[in-house]
Amino acid sequence: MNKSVALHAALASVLALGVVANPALAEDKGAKEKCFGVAKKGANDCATANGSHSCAGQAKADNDPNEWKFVPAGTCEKMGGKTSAPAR
Amino acid sequence: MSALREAQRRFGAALAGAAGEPDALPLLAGDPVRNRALLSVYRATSVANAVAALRLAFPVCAQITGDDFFDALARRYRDACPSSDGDLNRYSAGFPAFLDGFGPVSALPYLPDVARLEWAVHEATTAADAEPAGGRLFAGLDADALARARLRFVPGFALLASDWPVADIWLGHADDAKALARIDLTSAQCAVVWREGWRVRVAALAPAAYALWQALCRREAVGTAWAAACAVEPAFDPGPAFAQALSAGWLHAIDFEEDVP
Amino acid sequence: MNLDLATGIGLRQPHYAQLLAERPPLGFVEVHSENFFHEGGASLGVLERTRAHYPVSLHGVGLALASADGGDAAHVDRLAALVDRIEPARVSEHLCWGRVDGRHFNDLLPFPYTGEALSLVAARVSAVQDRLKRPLLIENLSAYVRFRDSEMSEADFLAELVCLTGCGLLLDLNNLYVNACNFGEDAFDMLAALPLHAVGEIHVAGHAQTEYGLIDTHGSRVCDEVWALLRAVRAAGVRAPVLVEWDTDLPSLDVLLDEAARAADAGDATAREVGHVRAA
Repeated sequence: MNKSVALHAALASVLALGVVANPALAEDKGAKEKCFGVAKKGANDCATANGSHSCAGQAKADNDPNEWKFVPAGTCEKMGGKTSAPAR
Repeated sequence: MSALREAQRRFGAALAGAAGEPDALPLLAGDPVRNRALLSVYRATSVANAVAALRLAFPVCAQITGDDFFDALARRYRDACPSSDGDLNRYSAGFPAFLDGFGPVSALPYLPDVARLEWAVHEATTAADAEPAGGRLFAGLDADALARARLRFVPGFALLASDWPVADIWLGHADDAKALARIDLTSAQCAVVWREGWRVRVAALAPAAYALWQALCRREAVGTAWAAACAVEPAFDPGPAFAQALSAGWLHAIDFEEDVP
Repeated sequence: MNLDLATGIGLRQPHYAQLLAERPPLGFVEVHSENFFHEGGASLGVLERTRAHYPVSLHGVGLALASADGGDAAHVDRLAALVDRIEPARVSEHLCWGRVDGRHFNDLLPFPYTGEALSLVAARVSAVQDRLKRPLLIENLSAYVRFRDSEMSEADFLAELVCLTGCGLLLDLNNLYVNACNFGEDAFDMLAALPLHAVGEIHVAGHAQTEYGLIDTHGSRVCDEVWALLRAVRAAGVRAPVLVEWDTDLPSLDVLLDEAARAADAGDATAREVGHVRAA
């Protein structure tokens, strides 16, 4: 098939879409009111469990462990643990 | 030399690391032993603010590594790429690139790309609000006009191609442990990030569809973008891809040659 | 906007939905300006909806006014855009530095109170006020260390700053109390030294007792001594809104509202005491 003919045929399928329902548009104000919960905390008032905050102090001194001796211990185990780089 | 700047340099060095304390102590009135402890309290606050900002932007990475590992990682990032902005929401942009070259995470080679995806999500969260183009975006066009048109995407729309199943990893953490166990870590994946109302969505994209949207994001014309998709998948049908884009609300506007300056 | 004896609380993410659904009676709410320095999204949407029901006070934590490094024009621009968008009742910042040689420590750091620092901060405050076309309130800091080179007290520095720039004072009574305890001074004397006529807002908060002294953690109820300071401020005739600051270990909204009610009581009780004294 000629390239331009193929292009026309392919884009015809886009033009044939006509009017597509758009759920993002349908999300009215009422739906937004219900999702205040999706708002994230701001990084400038991270009240974390250890109590950090830009305008509040830490009730502890800094003790940085100097050597890197940490082992990942999160969900990486559930995903199969150690992995090596993929063959390209 | 400004005395104030000199004092701030020396005080700042003590906040960067304990090695800076001896030079800062002569600035301070009162008991040096107590002042040394107080400098350490200040350092703890500055470190904790940086760590908390990273945790907020990269919650999936923190789940993958576990909190202790992530906090240590965040400290190393603070040493390598200190904050330069008074807004901590802008601090973490360099974290994925930092992870690329950081030896201790080499056992988790997918982590830098998961961080890239999380940064795109973080940016989408606060991107400008915009009405997506309605389903009538292409109404009244013929194929020639559409082929020459260029598209604009809603703010926050982002694409990521990875050697790793980044979308599955991200979605799996929003889901449950069983989903994580099902992930095939050896599979490459393209991901798309967008905002639907206030919610940020993530989905996997087929490679040809990724090539299409990637070209359109570079402001290529629709015809050129279609050719890029066909280079990946010769029989690529753009119909379903555009149907997804319109219904998910990825597209914001269409420009024709005469609109483009 | 006349907020006089109003009481408010910080607007924090865990309380967004409940506050907007229940709209409890509050004089105002306060947020950290920098958390809304972006273009859109849910948190800014929540702030705009909140603003439809309450006056908002924008409290900055990142301008670092006393940094010798030079002004942060981009930061001021972002603040100005937010001020245009929210039309806040108050805009405040801290008397602190935070940035040197391009590095920002994202903390509120103390500095020596010298003539050099006063000139710098006054010029910076004036520039920000000119840009925002409104006065700034500057907050007294909880500072855990003091500098040998200081030529004046923080109170004198603030009094000079108010004279030079026409800025107002955000009087943080917990910071004042924490400093008084840590440096063995009398909190009521420190209070009397401040330019109380310029107070445009008051903060009360909780602190933690540690081996290093009192640390301003904003993580507990306001202590009796700080309430006593608030009554003294009211008795001195200061009519400015009071904010209950709580950031660490954030409690339920009900606890914050209860604390805000106590802040309102401090004003009422003082009014009764003053009335009683006048009647006697």
